Amino acid sequence: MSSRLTIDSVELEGFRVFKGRVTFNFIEGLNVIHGPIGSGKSSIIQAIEFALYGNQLEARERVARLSDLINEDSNEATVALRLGGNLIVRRLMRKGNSTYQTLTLNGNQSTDDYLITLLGVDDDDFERFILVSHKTLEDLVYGPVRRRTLAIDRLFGLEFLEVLGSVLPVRQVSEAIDVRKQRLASIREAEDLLRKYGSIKAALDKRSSLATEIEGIREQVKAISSAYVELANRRSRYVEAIKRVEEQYTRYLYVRERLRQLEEELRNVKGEDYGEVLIKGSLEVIRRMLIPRLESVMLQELSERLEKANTIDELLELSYSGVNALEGKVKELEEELEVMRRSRDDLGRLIDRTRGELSSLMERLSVIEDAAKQYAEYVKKYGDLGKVKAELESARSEYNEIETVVKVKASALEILNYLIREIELHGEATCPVHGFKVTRDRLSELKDRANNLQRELSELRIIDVKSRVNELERVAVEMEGLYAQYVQYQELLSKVDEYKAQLNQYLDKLQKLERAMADLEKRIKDFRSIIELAHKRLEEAERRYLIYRKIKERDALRLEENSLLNELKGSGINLDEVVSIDEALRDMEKRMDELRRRLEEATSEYMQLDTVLSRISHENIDVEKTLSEIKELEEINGRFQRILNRLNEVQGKVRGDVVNIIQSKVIDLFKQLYPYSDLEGITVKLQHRKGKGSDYVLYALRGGRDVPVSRLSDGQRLTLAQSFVLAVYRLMQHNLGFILMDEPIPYVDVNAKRAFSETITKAISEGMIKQVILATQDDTLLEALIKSSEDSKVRSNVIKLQRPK
Amino acid sequence: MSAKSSEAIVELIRREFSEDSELVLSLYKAYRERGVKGVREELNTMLSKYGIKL
Repeated sequence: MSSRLTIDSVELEGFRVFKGRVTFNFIEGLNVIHGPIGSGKSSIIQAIEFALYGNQLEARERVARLSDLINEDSNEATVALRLGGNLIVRRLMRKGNSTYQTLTLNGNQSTDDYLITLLGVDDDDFERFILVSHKTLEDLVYGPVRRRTLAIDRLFGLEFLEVLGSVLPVRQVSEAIDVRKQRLASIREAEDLLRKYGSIKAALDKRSSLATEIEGIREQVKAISSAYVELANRRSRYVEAIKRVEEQYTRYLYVRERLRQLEEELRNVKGEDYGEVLIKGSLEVIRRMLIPRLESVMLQELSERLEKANTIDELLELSYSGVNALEGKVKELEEELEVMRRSRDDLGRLIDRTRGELSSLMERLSVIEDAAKQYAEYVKKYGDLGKVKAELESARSEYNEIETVVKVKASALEILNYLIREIELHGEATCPVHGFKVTRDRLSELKDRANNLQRELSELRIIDVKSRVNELERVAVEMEGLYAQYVQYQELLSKVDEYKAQLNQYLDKLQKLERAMADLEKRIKDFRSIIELAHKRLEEAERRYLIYRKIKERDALRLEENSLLNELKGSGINLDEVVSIDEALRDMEKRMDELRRRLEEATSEYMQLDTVLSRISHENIDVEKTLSEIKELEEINGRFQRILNRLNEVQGKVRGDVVNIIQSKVIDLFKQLYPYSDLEGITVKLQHRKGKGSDYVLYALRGGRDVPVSRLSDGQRLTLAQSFVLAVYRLMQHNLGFILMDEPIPYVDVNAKRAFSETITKAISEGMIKQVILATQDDTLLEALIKSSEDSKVRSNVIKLQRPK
Repeated sequence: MSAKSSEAIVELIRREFSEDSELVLSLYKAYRERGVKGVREELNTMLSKYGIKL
């Protein structure tokens, strides 16, 4: 920003109202050029523009003629502009040749292009955002949406797209095409003519050849007509005689003609190949083929009628009926076969499913098979679980009983052994249980009793019983553990049997079905081959029968012709001559018909050609050139149309980009320049017109509601317009640090002028722009600007101008 | 002419009008040099041989 150029001064000589040399100095900050109309305010602004862009003022129609810028009493005009402290741009223009100018930079000759590179702004962009007119500001925020859209487009340098859309002459080109087509339409066959004959010269040649041909045909028709009249006269002489035998003669003519046809048809036919017996024989073969088949499909009545058929006609008719009936039957059988195929497929799926389920059962069986077998072995060895449990119970009872006896007997044995030991040691002993004394004399008795007890104990076999109980307990526990699997195994076994039985049933059924299908297919095949064979033979028999009948007819007609000839000769008519005259007359009529038809065609073509060619010659149209122009214009219009179609899309896209810039830059600037709380913000949207592009729509946010820009005050609107200009000014890369304004707000009230002034000075104080040079005749605006600059402490410079005397 | 907006427009035309970009660019050049009048003159040059005048 700091490197951008500001204007230090402008020196004018012989420029518009300034005859003598005059210099105006400017400062960084606000510069107001104030004075009445005609005092030269706009001349100073224009001089700056002239110094920077010279010829472009005329090209851009800012002035009608550049020479108008030279003071009327001067021969030349010079403008010297000092920029950024050390750059002096001087442009000189002489009367009589205003296009000749000299441009110097710091005293050295220079060029416009170099200067533009130095400034970083061409004349076009200069007009967009450096030289700000009231029109630019007004268009941005006043008037209809369309006008605002074009103003925003222009500010962003996009107005060319709109210009392009409005200027492409699609309608005029279409009209030019139509005019040419209409011109050709008056000779609308011209295109066909070229397509048909290749060129106009070829069409002309064709017309003359047709004329010659028509003349030739007319002469031929004339000659044939006179010959025809002569022959007709000769024939009329026979008419009286013929009238008497008219019926026979007519019949004779028919017989003769028909006989000629038949002789021609039967020329290579040998009569013996077409005898009745032969034909009947072949039909008999067909009958024998058909009858058993018809009976097999219950077509009894037809079969009987065929059996009784006697003549060739009957045989042919009934055989064809039989073949057709069999064809119908074959269709029914095919439908039946299709039903069987579907059943087979269903059965196949059922078998697959059953096999799958069976296989799953077998897997489950194999998992529990060992357990079930184990259980079965236990059953085999010990009986079922109930029995094992009963035995266990019984063994336990036995064991308990034995155990009690053993305990008693063991105690008794122990006491006896004690007593024996005591007696043997001490000669006597006291019973530890009963306390009585036992002496030696009872020793042998005691020993006997002890031996008896010992024997009795050993005979009790308590260990065997115990081991039996243990074994049964183990078996019972294991069997209980295996029982559930055993039961499941048995159930699964039963299911497996069921599935196997089911599967066998299905397989059996499938086998039967496949056998039935094979039979049916065989039958259908047989019927088809019989039908085909019968058809072929029937057609052959019918063909032979037809020839046989023609032979019979020919033979009969030969006899009749002889008889009629004799009859007619007897009546004195020279039949050969009459017939030859009739034939000649028929040939002539035929030839005349052909000639007339060709004459009609040739005349019609000739007339069409002649009409079109006469018109072309009359209207002096170069058809080929016109057609080629139509083609070229259609191509041009196609391009225009394509551009227009694309244009809508492109405009929508770039306007979308502009909306983004406005949202991010313009609205931020607006907030900076308008720091009051009555507006919460600005929104901008792209509104699409149906089939007609798009427009920018601006709203201000007030009290939480969108309000159209048209309902804002002048001050608010001008601030918004300023925000637009400043946004573009800041966005573009250039080297200028100033903005020029020539009477920027001529039609607004004092409040708006104050608001505008505040905006300008705020833009300077906020550092958005270094220098503003504003020209106005408006005293109120001048006051407002000075006050605003003082309030915001912005440097200001007022250049007062007087109207020259 | 090194102004940025015209460069951006030229780039836009080249990008968006592909096969017709040369025609659109010639019209844009005429517009930049002579305004809307220039565009009309350019089109007139193109169409005058067909008797079309804008």
